[in-house]
Amino acid sequence: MSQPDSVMVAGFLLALDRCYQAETHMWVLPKGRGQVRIGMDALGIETSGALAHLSFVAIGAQLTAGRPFGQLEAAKFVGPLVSPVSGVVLATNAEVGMDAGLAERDPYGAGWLIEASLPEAPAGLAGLLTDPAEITSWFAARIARYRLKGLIAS
Amino acid sequence: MTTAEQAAAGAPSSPWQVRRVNFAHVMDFYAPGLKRWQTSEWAPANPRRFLPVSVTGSACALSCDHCQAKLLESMVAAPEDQDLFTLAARLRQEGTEGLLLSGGSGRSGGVPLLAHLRQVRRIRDELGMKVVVHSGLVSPEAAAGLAASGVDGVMLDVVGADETLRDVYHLDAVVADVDRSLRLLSAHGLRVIPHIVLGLHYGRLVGEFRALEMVSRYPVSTLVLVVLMPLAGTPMAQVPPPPVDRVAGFFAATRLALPSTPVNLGCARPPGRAKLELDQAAIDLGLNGIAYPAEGAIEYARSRDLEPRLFEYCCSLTWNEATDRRMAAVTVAG
Repeated sequence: MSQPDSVMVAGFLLALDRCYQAETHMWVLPKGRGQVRIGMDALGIETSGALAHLSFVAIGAQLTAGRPFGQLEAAKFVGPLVSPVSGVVLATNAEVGMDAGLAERDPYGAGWLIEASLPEAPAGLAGLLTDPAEITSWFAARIARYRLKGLIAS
Repeated sequence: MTTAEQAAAGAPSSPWQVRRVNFAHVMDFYAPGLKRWQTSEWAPANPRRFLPVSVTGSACALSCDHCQAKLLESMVAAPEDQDLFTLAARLRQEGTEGLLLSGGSGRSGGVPLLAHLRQVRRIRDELGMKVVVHSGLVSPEAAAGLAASGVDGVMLDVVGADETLRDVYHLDAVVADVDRSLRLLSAHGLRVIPHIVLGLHYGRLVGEFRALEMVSRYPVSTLVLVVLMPLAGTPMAQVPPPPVDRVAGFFAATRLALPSTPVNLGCARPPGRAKLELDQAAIDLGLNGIAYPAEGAIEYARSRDLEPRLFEYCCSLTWNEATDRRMAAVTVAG
């Protein structure tokens, strides 16, 4: 039986056709030829509150896993967007830069943040969650944890 | 004395000079726990040190055009089945040292705090916590209740235009009612921390200068200036905030009108490039503190020969008497 592209987990949409960085809620979608698209998952966005502004480093900038590649300003969170991979920025999503709400409305599609090339792909994806079952389990556990902490509504 | 006469007399005439003459060469930065926040210059050690509590949960009778109760979403909701002291005790155990009692407004423009005020003294005395409140418009009874409760300070949005009260706040009230609230709170000897929201009238400065004039007639503890931050999902979502130069002009006027009163730039202001420009203007024009500083603002203060001081609590808590040493001691390393 084929794997669905996305599922609903306790009220939150989760795309299963990509990898995830567990701490930052960043997703990484391989595009072939060592290139990836990067965005934030629906749960990460929900815990940030209404998005007000997103800004990114310049095209051509070096990305380092665990280091900022931009800034997020939202109702409940202001802070860095942390890169899940190391590489070079190929593109930034101008539309989401103009309308941060796009990332809320379509976090796995039109609300993507940046695209990058990974010189060391596929090794550059090391440390990310890649197995759909593992991703679903992690996501469900995070929802439960955030509800317990009051970060998202019960 | 006119500005020209002041200059002739050798008195400071620019906002920056006024600040240099009247205050120490420090710039205070604040990061209360209203939201998770960090920059490369400062990541608070205890983001829960100072938390807002909504006594109405997510409910607000006014549903103002700029907010529509969205600002309540990031507050800790006071549970209906639990008294405020029990909630405060739990938060204290988790590292919280101060509370902002806030909430949605009733139809009269006041936050329904009275039922909770009897808990305030216990929270202060038994838990050692600071308690400041958002009062909204107050009646004589509410002002007396606040005074009797022992709250550390009272915050009040000062609106200087009847049309803003009517059109934005949907209130059946006029500026004289705001002035009366300031007078009642002051008459009770409460520590008053007025806020002026620049651009509240759909992005335009309408009653702000009148509000400043009103504030200048009372012995306020600290004046907090905030700037309209259009919120998604509200009628003002697409309203352009007031231009930076207009806001900067108001900063300058405020410093000159209140030469020795602490004036802080509060939590709310537009994001992105405008935020850094506003923060730099606040520093250049002699304001005393900034909440949630933009990336680079702390370094900018240093470049103006102002020593940055970092506080993990509300920018309304600026006093520093001997009795308030414990709260003052929460300064964190830069």
